Amino acid sequence: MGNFERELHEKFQDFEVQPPHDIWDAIEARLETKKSLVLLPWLKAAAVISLLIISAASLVYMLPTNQFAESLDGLNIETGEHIEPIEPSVLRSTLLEETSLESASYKRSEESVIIADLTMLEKVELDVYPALFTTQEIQPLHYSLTITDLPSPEYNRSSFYQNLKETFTTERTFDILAQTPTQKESEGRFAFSAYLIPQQSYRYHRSTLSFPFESLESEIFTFAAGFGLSYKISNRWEIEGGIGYNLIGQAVNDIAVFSHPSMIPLYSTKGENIGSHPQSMSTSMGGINFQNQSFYYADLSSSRIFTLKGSYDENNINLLNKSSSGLIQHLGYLELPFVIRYKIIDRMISMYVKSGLSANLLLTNNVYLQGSAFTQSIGENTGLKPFNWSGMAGLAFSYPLSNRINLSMEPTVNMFLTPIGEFRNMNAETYPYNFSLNLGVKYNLR
Amino acid sequence: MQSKLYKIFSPKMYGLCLRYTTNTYDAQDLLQDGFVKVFENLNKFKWNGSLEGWIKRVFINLALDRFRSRISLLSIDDIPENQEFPDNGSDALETISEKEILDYIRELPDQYRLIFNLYVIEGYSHKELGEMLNIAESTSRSNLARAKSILKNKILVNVQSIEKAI
Repeated sequence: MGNFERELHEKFQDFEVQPPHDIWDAIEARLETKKSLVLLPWLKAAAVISLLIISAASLVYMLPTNQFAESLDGLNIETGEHIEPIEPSVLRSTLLEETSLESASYKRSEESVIIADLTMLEKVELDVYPALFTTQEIQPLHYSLTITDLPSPEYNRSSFYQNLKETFTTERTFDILAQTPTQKESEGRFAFSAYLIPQQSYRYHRSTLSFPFESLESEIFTFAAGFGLSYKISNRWEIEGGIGYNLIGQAVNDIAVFSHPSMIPLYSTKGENIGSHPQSMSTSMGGINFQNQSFYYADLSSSRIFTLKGSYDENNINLLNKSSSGLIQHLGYLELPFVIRYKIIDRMISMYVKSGLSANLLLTNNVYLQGSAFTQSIGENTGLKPFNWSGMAGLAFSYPLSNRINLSMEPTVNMFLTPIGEFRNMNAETYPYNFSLNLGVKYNLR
Repeated sequence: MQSKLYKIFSPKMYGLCLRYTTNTYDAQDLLQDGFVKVFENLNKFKWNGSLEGWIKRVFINLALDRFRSRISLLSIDDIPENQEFPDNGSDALETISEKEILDYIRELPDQYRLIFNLYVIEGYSHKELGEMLNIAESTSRSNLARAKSILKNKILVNVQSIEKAI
């Protein structure tokens, strides 16, 4: 070490400067809130999902059980007090105990009305007896419906109950003959779906660095769209494969953009003021190479770009943009999802839980400058992996518009299971996730 | 305990933060991040060495993290190792203030400033710097030489202007 270095070492080894007083307050506040801040996004997500599930289940449960129940409520039977619906499993086991395995008869007393949820049954047969007569004295009116043979069970069940309602206006007692599900249940059906998916795109960033990406980047609203082909394994289970385009991304904040490079003092790696050079920066979703050389960029809050705030004269440059959301990163993936759905509530609107996996192939990669009156492509993101896996979970609601067409709405959480890129120098991993509402139309194929 | 530690060590650590950053905002930001990290990891300190040394290492590692976060986008320049610069800056150091020298250090390009601080002030060797920054030893030497050259020139210009004024 020469004299020059030694003297500088001695001067600065114990160099002290008193920091501003408010720094300690800020540190103290951060220490108190840090733990809760880490948990907050997950708590929020868990709370939203729980609330969603509870609200949806409550809403669907508040719908009429089916038209059959409504019809019986309107019978005006002398002793027709309301009783709780009988669970399908209870009903079926009662029937099976009393008679044979294939079919069963459930004899009702004259004093009450049965309201049965028949959705678990494949075939329902109903014998209706006029009042004051017994089964030996008169032939009953016979109704039969094989539910799973119909393209849309809910739709046809409704019309069947309507018939019953008309007949029951003069009857008081009846028997139910119900047939338990047979091997027909294993027969599946195909349906074709088309989806439009508005979504809010976020990312989870994990890094050993303390670089302040969290405060300098924010979520954006995007769309996805796709097609699916589903197969109904049983009355409850359904699988679906598909193909789609999924656009995700984020806003990179606090970036100023200029049009006159000569006004910005930029240093080359040899320490010379060269006025301009190709610029690039880091984000949690990869580096950005600014390919449009007619623009120059400066970081207003941190040191993500060489040009820092204060290294230019704001009064003498043509400032194109100095907003809190300067740049938008857009990543477009070809998505190949595989989804499993399980029907948990079967009413006029059916409710499913769903989960699935998706293969994602990077198709488009753009960075846009978002001005007050224009949007322009200025470069692309670097360091991204061409292929990723993602997982999804959510609810699905299906409403039969006709016996062929169903409308669906699926609040879904999607998250990348593999890091979006390899940012080795930053020792960081980023996993995009989003909250989406899949709006779909499903056409049942014969 | 935390506020006491802060009172004792914050002036020295703020001095360090000012050396590694180019503006006051970043220096204060680094100071905050550094103390938050120190307090979160204080239980990992074994008390068999210097607490000040440990706190200083936390701050230097944070400063390095910030530099590494964009090092992939910057190329550390490699100039010939045997390039020589006249050693005529040391006498001039007596005549200018620490604040002025600090300003010159903060005006250095990022990679020069980092290597200058780590080698000259912190006392790391070029071999250690090579491992820390994942660069060749010769690159560390040449970047230091460039940093010293820029600093000396600035100090000399300053001293000459003072002499002229007198």
